[in-house]
Amino acid sequence: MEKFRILYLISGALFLITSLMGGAWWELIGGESSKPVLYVGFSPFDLKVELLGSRAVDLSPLMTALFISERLLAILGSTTIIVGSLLQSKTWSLRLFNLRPFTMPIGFGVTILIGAIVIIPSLMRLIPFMDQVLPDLREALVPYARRYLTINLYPIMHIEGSVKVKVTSQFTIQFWIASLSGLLCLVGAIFHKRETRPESPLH
Amino acid sequence: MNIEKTLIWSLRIVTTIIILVPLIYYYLASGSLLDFVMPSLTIPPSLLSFNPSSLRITAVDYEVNGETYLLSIGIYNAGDIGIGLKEASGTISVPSLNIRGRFILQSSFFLKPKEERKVNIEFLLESGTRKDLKILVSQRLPIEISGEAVLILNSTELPLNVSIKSWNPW
Repeated sequence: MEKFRILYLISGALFLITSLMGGAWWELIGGESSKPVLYVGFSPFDLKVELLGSRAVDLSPLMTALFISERLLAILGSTTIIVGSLLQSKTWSLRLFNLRPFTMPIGFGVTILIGAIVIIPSLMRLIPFMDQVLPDLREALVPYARRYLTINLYPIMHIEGSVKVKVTSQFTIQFWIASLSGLLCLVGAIFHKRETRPESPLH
Repeated sequence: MNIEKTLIWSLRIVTTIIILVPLIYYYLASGSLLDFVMPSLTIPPSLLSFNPSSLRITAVDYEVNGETYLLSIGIYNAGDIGIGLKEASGTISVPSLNIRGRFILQSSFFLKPKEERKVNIEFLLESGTRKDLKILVSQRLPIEISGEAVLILNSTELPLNVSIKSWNPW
């Protein structure tokens, strides 16, 4: 089997497992990680928000539909990659390869960073109260950036002081497996281009 | 060549179906465009009305052992959710009376809504006198508090650092 097919095969298998497994790709945990006060788990396939151990948000039908579509597209993309890498005798098998294992984790990571770096600060400018109460929310949301979120008490309780609560913003093992799958897929695509490139004439 | 074209078009059609069918199904299943688009909050009303200052001090007794005071504090949970402290330590000061001391919660406690109980806190007076402490308790003056704690809210735990310049817990 050619190198690129092996890489595609591993990439497709990893991405299929990640798509079927579910679970969050990015987590925001407020409080002790074993018993969090606030938990937000987000992936291309689901969004879960829990407050004090209870589910806080029911997804809208639009969000549910988009998450189902994303999951099915990921399953389709990875399955076609696996089938394409196994059917090496068929010339059309190359048509089954795609870069979905690469584009999905990259797109997800960029979405999280844009959310934390661009959207949250814009929201805070629009809603000054939010900025007064949670001045370092942006830093708290950026993965691995900060471990404590400051809550200023005066705007909400008229008490002069602040509370710093423990928060964790991180990408999960599912995200890193998906990213590894994406990397293998990209390397497979590069190898594929090299291996199929016509050799230049000697004269 | 024909197989390739068929394959490509099949994949395009399947992709379109995967995107459109859930959207159409969920749109038709929801009552209106607003219901289709908007997520809904499922937070119990008791959490929405949560007031962080629902822990109230109802009584303060103390025993003295040198510079160390064993405070027995009556605490009442006026809120609608269970609240408690797993750990707490730090400093308390009252600048107007020149009182300053370190405190540590002796054992964790948890109060169900509308429940009251006594909580023991060890307080080491670093500056000020017993007379000043009596004035603080009798006049119910605001205190300055800083330290670390693990707050228990229902079944969850929240480690936090507190820094409050003027707080009236009485």
